[in-house]
Amino acid sequence: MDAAHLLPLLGVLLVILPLLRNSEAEPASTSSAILYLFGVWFGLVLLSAMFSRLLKEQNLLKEQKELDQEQGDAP
Amino acid sequence: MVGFNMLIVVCLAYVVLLFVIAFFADRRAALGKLGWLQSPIVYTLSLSIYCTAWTFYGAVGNAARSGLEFVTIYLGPTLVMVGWLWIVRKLVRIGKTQRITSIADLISSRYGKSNLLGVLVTLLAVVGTTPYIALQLQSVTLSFAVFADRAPERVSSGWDLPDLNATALWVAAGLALFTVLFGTRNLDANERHHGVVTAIAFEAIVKLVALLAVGIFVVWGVASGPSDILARIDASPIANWELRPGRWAGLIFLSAAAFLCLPRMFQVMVVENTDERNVLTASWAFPLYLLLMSLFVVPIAVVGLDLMPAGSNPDLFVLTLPLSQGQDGLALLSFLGGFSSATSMVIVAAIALSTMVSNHIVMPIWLAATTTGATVSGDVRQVVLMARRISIGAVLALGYAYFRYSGGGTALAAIGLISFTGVVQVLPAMLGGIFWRRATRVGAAGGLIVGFIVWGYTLFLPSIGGANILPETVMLSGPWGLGWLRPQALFGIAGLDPVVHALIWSMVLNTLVFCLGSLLSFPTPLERLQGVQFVNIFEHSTGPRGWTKSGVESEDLLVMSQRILGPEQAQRLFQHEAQAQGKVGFLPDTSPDFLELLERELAGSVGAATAHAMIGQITGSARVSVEDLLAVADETAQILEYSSQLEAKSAELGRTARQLREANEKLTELSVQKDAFLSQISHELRTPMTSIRAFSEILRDMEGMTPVDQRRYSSIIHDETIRLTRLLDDLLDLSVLENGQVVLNEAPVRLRDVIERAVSASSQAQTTQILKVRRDTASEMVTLVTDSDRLSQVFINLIANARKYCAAPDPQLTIKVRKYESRVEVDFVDNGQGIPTKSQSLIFEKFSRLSDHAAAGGAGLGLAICREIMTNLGGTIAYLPGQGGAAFRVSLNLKQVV
Repeated sequence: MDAAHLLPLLGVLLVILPLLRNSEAEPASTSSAILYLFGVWFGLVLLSAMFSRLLKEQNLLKEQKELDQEQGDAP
Repeated sequence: MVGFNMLIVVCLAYVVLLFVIAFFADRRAALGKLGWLQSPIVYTLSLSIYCTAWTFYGAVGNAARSGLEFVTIYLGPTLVMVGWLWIVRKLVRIGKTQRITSIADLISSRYGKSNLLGVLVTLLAVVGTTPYIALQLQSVTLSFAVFADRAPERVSSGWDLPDLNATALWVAAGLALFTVLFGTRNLDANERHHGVVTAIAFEAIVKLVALLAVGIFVVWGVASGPSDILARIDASPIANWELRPGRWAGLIFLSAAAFLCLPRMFQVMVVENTDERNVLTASWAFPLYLLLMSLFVVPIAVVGLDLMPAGSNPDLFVLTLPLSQGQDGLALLSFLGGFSSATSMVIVAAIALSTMVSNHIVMPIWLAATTTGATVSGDVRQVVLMARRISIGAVLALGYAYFRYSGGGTALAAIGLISFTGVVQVLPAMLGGIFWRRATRVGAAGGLIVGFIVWGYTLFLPSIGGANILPETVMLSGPWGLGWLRPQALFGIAGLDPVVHALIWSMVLNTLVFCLGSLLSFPTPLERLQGVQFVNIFEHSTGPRGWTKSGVESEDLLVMSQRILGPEQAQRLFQHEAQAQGKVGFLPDTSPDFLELLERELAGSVGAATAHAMIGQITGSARVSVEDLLAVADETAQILEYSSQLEAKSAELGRTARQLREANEKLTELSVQKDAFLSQISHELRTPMTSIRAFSEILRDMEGMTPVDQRRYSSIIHDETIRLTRLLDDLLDLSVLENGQVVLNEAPVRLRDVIERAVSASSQAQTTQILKVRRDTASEMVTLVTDSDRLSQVFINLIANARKYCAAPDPQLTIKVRKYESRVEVDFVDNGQGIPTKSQSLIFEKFSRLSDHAAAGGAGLGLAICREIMTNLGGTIAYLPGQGGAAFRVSLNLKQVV
């Protein structure tokens, strides 16, 4: 959950990163910039999908637990 | 070649398909078969209205002009969705619990249901969205023109270019029709439009497929694969683009903020959300959608620049590139993609804006205009729906007018970012509202107004300006020659990109005023309440307790609700609530809980501010209870409240435990009694049997018995037999009564006669003890319909008991009759020592005899029979404590009185 909170910060850092490089000294080719950006983008999607899966499982576990508790309380 | 006429046919067929999809989705929803209508995929796809025609066509143009900068528009939303746990989750939860209908409603509801803020945000949204709608109209007409330009009809017969304005008009009218049909079909309490959402989800697929198809064609059809494309990219003019840090960071922020603040995005993301868990899927699926949408943008731009003649509009490469390669089918698909992007955006934007306009502008005016208030009869729903329909028409008309006014030129292309910048002025008020409890209405309004003005002055007016609105001298040297007020170089900071300049200044000043205004002003109680509700939405998800009481007639509320929710739904709501309160019928008590529930239901239809005002009209002013203030005061108070809740809970548990203990004690006693019953009944039967047997043996065996003795013994046997019979009769009587098999001979009878009969009958029985009976015959003149024999049986029993057990030296029995509206009570009070408290609950049980056996002379069934008789007669008999002696109250329903 906490890691999922941090994901957008990582994303911001990675997409802002190109601003930091000194383009005068070593001009980057556009194609590599494209590969970098789409790579970051796809990485974010994958991580996000992973977290969403984890969270879903957690939620299911939690619901199941609550259900069990309710049933446990009943008798 | 695709003819223009064929294009029209395809276009119409596509529109018909959309109508059919929307119609069936609506029908499914109406039948309650929601199923996939609320699946996370549909939700994710509906979010794609973020990608309008401006991005569908414009992204390629943007890439051709400024390289990779176009991705900033997609990166912002990507970051927002990836970080959904921060903001989106909270917005969705707030939207659900508070029944938010639009972004204006969110702001207005958060800041004490202030309508001023609702109006402000609505105006901002209309001003910010209108140019955007114009932009969609323009892109559709331009894409039409591309086909018309190459149409064979034109070549062969000198057919003229279709009138672009007419095309735009037709598109606008068609969109208005669709939106009115599916967007204002009903006044849904949840403000959800399944038909519309399903249609735009379908359109989302169309535009994605279209763009991917064109991209795949370009990469593998024109170029020879990814590596070739990458090489071409580096060789093309696009490779010379420069990363402008200000714009890069600024546009990412801008698009992220716009994603949250755009009315249409708020509509699909929060209002149309059916299940919070859908956000979980959208958090990765929507970024993926955006990624796919932008994957082929640069390749298309590069190949377009390469192949298309110089000077051709890169904004239309998606369309013209396949056409120039003879791929008419592909071009048609891409045309439909662009058409989808434009239409879905316009439809949702029109719905969102019309909801805002009708809830925050029309309804308040209407409420104020109808001085009789909200309680008169008639259907408000029609007013609301009509207001929405007219607003939809007006919004589209505005868009069209803007399109005409601006001449549909290139000026429009820049409007996307300008529009974004205007709309994001809501951001400080929105984020402050959901994260900062101290934010107040004054701050929010101030921030909005300042941001709006700065945006208008620095960006909007210069963009549409021309010389009439902002003269050249103002642009160059500021108004009145004040250089630091130059629209595009505020405070002398020149050289910034105009959009970034406007964004920075408007956001900075907006936020500054918002914070200062909030700190310097004091929130009203309702604002505080709403503030806590919004900020701590995950801690307590209950609504605010805005209504304390209550001279309210629930009938008035029902009349009003029927007009907004419709009679059926309102009645169902009221009946349900009445049932929950344990009442029968349609009118529940107007408890604060109920008022709160009702207000939220109404808010789902007409917005929080209006709903609040309408209920306020009926209940008087809005008040906030001390408890509610406690709830918001601070953490300590919350803990206090929590512990007091715990206390209440444990008190309740204690009560339940006590009740259980009492029930258990009674059960134990009853079981003892049951045992006693058996031994009692054997005993009761055995005693007469023993004497009968003994005396009959004497009669049989003794010889030479005198006739006197013989008679004496026989009469003893006879008496004992009678006693046995009576006991058995009583038992039988009791069992008949208990099973409810008794036949009652009901007839009108005067109470006095019954009592008369009972008194004389019981005085015959035993004359040894003198019991004085005191009566007030005047009060006994009550006529009722009942079984007089049974009733007198009860009375006889009570009088006989008094005679038997009253131990006073001068026994007296007082019979008091009291008549009420619906029942009559007869009290039998003697002057004896009464019945001890611990025995009072047992006297009506079988075989319960308090005194010793001999004195009683009965089997202890009398009062048990009395109780059963009274139950059968529809009345009660109870022991009346604290009357100085033993006292019984017989009470009978009077409703049968003739």
